[in-house]
Amino acid sequence: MKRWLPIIVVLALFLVPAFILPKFGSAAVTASVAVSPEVLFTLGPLEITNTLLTSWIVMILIVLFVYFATRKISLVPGGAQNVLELIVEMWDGLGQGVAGERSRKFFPIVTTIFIYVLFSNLLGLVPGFGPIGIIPVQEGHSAPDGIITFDLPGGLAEALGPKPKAAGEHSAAEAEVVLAPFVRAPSTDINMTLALALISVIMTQIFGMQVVGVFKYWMKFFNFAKIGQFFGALFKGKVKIGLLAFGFIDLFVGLLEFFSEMVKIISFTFRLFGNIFAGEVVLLIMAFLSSTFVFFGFPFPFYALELFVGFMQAFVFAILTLVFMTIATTAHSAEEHA
Amino acid sequence: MEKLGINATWLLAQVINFGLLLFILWRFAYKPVLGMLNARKQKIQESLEYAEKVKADAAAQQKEFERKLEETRRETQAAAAAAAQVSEKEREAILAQARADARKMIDQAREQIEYERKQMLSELRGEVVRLSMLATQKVVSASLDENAHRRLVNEFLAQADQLGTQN
Repeated sequence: MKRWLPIIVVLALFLVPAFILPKFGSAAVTASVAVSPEVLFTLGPLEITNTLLTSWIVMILIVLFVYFATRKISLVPGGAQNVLELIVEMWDGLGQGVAGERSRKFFPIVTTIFIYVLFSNLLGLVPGFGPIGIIPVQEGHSAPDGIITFDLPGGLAEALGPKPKAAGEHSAAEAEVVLAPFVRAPSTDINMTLALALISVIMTQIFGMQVVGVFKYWMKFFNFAKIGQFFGALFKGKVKIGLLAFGFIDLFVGLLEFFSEMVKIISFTFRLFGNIFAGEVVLLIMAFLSSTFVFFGFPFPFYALELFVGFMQAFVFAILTLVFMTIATTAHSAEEHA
Repeated sequence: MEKLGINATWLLAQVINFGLLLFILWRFAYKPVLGMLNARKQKIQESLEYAEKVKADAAAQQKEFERKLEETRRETQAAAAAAAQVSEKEREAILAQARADARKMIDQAREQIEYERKQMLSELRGEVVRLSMLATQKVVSASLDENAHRRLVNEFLAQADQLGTQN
């Protein structure tokens, strides 16, 4: 009997809410999935989206974390200082291992990407943030079934809330009411992932130019060296077809590399966005499955999975940035100028 | 672009966010923590070196101590040997003295004995003379005069002396 007790308790936790919640009509709630972040309010010319608000929350959390970690910084670490040291040491160690001494150049960007993305991903998993938000309710209409609403004071109601969607976008206008959650993981906003991707790729080019030299660095992409040699030979009356052929191959390979550099922006952007956004959608679907099948355990394995994915994506973004920066700053022109 | 929600303003806001965060972390997290890590590394290295030095010092001191101990032992042994030699000499001297004393005492004793013997002998002689004279007087009863008598006895004694010394 004693052996079964934990299982009974867990089952009760999963099942009992399922019998209580339908009394509040929670079954009537419909989920909406929007790629674009929802606008919460406008601040002057700036439309503040929930992802932007959450990025600020994330930044504040990070700053608080750093404050507590470095408040009483000492040779004998304790508490938060241990965690910060772990992160800093991990990225410093990885950088030193991959790039040696010049990794100190990349270290701040790489580590900041890791911390920012990690906090962003994990904050999105905090339960209860998603369903609390602003929902526009037409004058004279009541809120949809199953949603508990509180009226905002007149002035705030004007300033806050999603504006009506542009026609033809989603909408069968009045039927579809979109809840704008206050908090939404920044990584589920393409603007955020694209911003990080742009920073990562652009800084990679800048570091490459700094270390290898501007001209030499761009030679990697637009490699006219062998074609130039061919024409040089041609002036002296010698025709070297081989040089011309290899010159075109070099040029083609360089252009491919250039395009792969551009593609990095897209792959960075959508890898992070796709993983985190899809994760949130999966959690949402599992939550609805829970209420449908009267079993509240469905989201749990996915929560564990999403925690892992959240860490992994932060790690991958940072380590790829580190590796690309290392490659860009490696003078790999040995065989070209030999 | 529009469908994905990409918007120049939001993008720029995110870039600014990141830049701000980068600056804050760089200034307030990485610099102090890396500095601290370096300081700790240095401290550990110093401690290790110090420990190594202390260990070497201890070993040197141990060696020095052992050397001194050995030296002391040798000195003690030498001193003990010297003392033994001295005491041996002393013993010899005392023994010799004792022997000499003993011999002296024996000699004295012997002299005393000799003297006493001589004394006794002379006393004995006198007694014998008297007794003989008494006996002779009794036997001879005045047939001899005093002087003849004395002469006879003395002759006899001289003979007896001769016999005594022969013995």
